[in-house]
Amino acid sequence: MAEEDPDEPQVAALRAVWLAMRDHDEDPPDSGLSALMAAARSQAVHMTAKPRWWQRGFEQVRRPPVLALATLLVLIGGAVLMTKHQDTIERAPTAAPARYEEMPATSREVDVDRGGGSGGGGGGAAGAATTPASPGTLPTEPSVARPVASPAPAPASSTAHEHRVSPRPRTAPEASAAGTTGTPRAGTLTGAGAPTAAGAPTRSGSTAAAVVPAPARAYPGFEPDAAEADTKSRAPVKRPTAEDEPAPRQVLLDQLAARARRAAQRGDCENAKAIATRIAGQDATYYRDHVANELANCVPAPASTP
Amino acid sequence: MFNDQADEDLMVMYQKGEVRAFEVLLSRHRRPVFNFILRFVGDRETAEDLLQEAFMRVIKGAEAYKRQAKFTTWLYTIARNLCVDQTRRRKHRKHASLDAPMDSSEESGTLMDVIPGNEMASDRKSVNKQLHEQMQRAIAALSEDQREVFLMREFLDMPFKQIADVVGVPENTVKSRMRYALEKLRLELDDYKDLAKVAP
Repeated sequence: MAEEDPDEPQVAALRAVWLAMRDHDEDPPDSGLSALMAAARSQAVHMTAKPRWWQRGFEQVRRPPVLALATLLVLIGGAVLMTKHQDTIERAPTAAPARYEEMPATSREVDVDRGGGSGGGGGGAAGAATTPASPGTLPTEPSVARPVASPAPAPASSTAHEHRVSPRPRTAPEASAAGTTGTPRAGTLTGAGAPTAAGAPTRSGSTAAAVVPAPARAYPGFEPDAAEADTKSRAPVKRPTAEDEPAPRQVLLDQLAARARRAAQRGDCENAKAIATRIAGQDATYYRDHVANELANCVPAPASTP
Repeated sequence: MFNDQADEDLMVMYQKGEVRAFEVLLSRHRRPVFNFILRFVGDRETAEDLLQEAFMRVIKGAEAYKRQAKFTTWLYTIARNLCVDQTRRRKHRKHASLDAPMDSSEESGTLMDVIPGNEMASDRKSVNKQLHEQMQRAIAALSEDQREVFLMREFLDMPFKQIADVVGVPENTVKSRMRYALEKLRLELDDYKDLAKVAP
């Protein structure tokens, strides 16, 4: 207290006055004391009562920063979903065939030979219902070892080949509708985005094979531009009916033959041979009738009919 | 047990449900806080209300109290804010002039007449009373900023640092205000310097 004016005698004298005033401090009335103590007891009870864990969590969640963060996350998540969905819509007509081309030959052959899709669209529907609805995505690594038959050529008359063509993972009603006609959409091929789940029941009562993840790798000789142009030209505008479209197997063979022809025209005999070999594996008759003659300069002479 | 504890410890104990701890705090600080408020606002009734309100705010804010904060700093910050609010509210009211008659009759005296003058008192008790009243008038005449600093420093013995925390200004500003307050008091009480020298 002597910091202010230690050498000021008048201030020191005045200080003595107010120090004497301190001795005459008044006592506050006791009138409000009971109310204060009652409030203090109530507050003590409130402070000691521990809220339950969910009450504490709820209180935390109700705080403005958490609410703001949640709003931000919802907005960002919505924007991401919208963007992805937009990409999916834009890629849908061309993605499936392109991805099919990216599949390894063995996988495609397995798909072609597989009877898991038999029973109309039911198998496809089951696959679509159990896999992500993104036709442009492929599993990057196999999750289930699939019991597969040997990649030997299947008999041409196999009815199991009827419904292995699937334009995209279908929703259940759509797949069901396709299953009733027994004719999937042309121009797109199965195996890209709709692997059939293991154990998924099909219309015929059998269960589909295990999921067939197709590792994404470029098929030898695959030309994205040519394939894309091809698929764009074939991009379906309307849903074809069973009457006005060829059998899916035929479509596949035609596509392979066209590709083999283009490869032969480019002088890429190695690629043409590979494709021709696949055609022969699929349908020896078709190979003999359509491929062997046209690609005589590249592919070997057709073998005798088995 | 509770009487030996520091204010901060008592507050923490109260947070854990010890009502007795708060009772000790109340008995320890009620009187000085009341007199601080009384000298600040100059009205006993208002001071009683503000005292009640200050401790109610302490009770309500007890849950959020942190041990690191000095209890008296927190308590006097509450009390000081209440006083400042009250003073500002009162400024908007119309006050009676000291020279205005106390009632409507022509013969009635003025407020100035009932406030003690500076006549020399005959005995020591009267001198002290006169000095104290004059001192109260001088304190009331200080500006709000100087008055709060002066009261906390001289009547509550607070360090400048703590006053700065309560008032919310730098410590040097507090010292400056204190210097001006003392100078003003010295001028106001210049006529009483002889009385002050003989006062006990």
